[in-house]
Amino acid sequence: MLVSVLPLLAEGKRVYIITHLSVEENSVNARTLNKILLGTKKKWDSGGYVRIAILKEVAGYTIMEYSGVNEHRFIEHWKRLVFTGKGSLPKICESEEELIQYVNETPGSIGLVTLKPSPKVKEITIDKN
Amino acid sequence: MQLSFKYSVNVVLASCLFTAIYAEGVKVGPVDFHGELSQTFAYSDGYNYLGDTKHSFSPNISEFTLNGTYLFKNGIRTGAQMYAYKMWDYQEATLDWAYADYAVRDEFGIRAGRVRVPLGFYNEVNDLDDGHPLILRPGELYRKDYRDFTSSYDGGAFYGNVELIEGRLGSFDYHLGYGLLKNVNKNAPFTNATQDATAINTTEDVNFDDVQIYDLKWNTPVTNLRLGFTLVCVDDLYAGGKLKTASQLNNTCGSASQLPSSFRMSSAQWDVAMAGTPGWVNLGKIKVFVYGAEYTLDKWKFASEYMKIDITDSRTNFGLSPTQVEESYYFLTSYRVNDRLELGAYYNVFYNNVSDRSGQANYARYGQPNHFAWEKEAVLATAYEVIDNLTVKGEVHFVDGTGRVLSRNGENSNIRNWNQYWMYFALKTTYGF
Repeated sequence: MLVSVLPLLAEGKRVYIITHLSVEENSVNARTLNKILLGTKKKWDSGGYVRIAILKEVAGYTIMEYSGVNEHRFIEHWKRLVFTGKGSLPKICESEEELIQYVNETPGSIGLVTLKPSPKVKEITIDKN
Repeated sequence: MQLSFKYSVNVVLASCLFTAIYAEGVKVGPVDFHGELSQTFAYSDGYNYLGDTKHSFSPNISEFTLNGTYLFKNGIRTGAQMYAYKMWDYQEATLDWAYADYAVRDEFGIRAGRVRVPLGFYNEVNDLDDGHPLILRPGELYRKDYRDFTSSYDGGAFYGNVELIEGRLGSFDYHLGYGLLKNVNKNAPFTNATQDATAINTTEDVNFDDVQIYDLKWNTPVTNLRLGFTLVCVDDLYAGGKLKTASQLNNTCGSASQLPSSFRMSSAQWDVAMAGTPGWVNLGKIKVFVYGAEYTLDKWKFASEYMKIDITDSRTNFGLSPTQVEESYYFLTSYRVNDRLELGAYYNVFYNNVSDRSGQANYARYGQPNHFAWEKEAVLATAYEVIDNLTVKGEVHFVDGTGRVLSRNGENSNIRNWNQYWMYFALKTTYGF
């Protein structure tokens, strides 16, 4: 699946892609981000396993924009992985602060937030290639 | 209409308590546990179908699924799922899958243990109620009473996701598996289903040889359009027991070629010479082909699959060499109305032998109803999430044909008077966590 358009604005707010400081990538392309969010890409190219964190309340717009499926289909997709043993549900966070803390503490993790990233996590960009 | 709630009420109360405790799944140490608990009720105006449903609103299927997985720091993922169910008068707790998995790269991974069979788009999650409005999925291979045969195998698989021309042509997921299908309990629903399929002999022992699985899913460049192909090869399905009596054969809706008259015997001669002697069928080569397409467009989902079961190299100990090609296909759509409500509909077609779709050669010619040969159904379905994690589903089937109605053990008697048109209504409550 490909995401044809990747707006950086969601409901008027900029979306930042943050990772744990151990992730060496400085950018990902849209296709890679899509595969990460759908669990197809399990490992970072620089090594280490991908762990995903999403926001419970704003999952709709972020998920639709970046994974290509709406939040219901997104959860359905992940339930399929869980009930076949192929994956674990993404960490679902109640707030952006909780998500940032999770990413800060979890090697290999990635998340989408609207708060400007603090030095505790790493911001990566979307490579247009 | 008789309503027998006693058993189901207990299940529902227990599940309410369970769900209240574990509404969001549960994490025990480093292991995530998830599961579902459900109860299905069904009614039919024509037949006992997956339970005692004829003119009775019966709590016919109870299910409980529980899984846990753990990802080691070295990347090995391990986990297991238990599936316990009660269907008709049979109950069993099974180890659904249990394996270790290591993804060397996105393009290549290895999985070993008890593995679910990736047959078509939905076999691996056939028991999962979340995310779709259906109670009974369409397609011959998703039959609830076939799951002992189709659910999982003991062995291993190579799998991965490979991009085509740097993703410009999308990517494909593959699963290449080899192993052994687990043997089926002699009282399991699949064994009973083969009572009709083999027709001439009882089935007290069902076992298989090895299974080979080739599954490809192409994630096309068109967003959310997937195309799929699966080939599953099973060798030596053995179903053995004793040859039935003439009376039993006359009340089994198998091919009429297996009636005493086809052996140039009267019923009395058959009962003296043949009935009760050992009888077995060995289906030498079973090849299952599935072709499918699935497209998701925001709140809509569309899916269609064509399934063919090709049976060759068969032999029996009573002179027949049964070969047949079963065929089924369906068209499905679903629509997510809002956060709570989803609607669905499908049209499903099944023929138990493509060389006799009309039922003339195998049934009508011998005075049996020709509608044994097919089943065509239009289904309307709905799912409503009453509260978080608690879903109620309802669906109604308008059916033409009796190709999948069982006569086994007299569950549905007077087979020559069966009606071609019938209705089936099901209601299901599911708690997921």
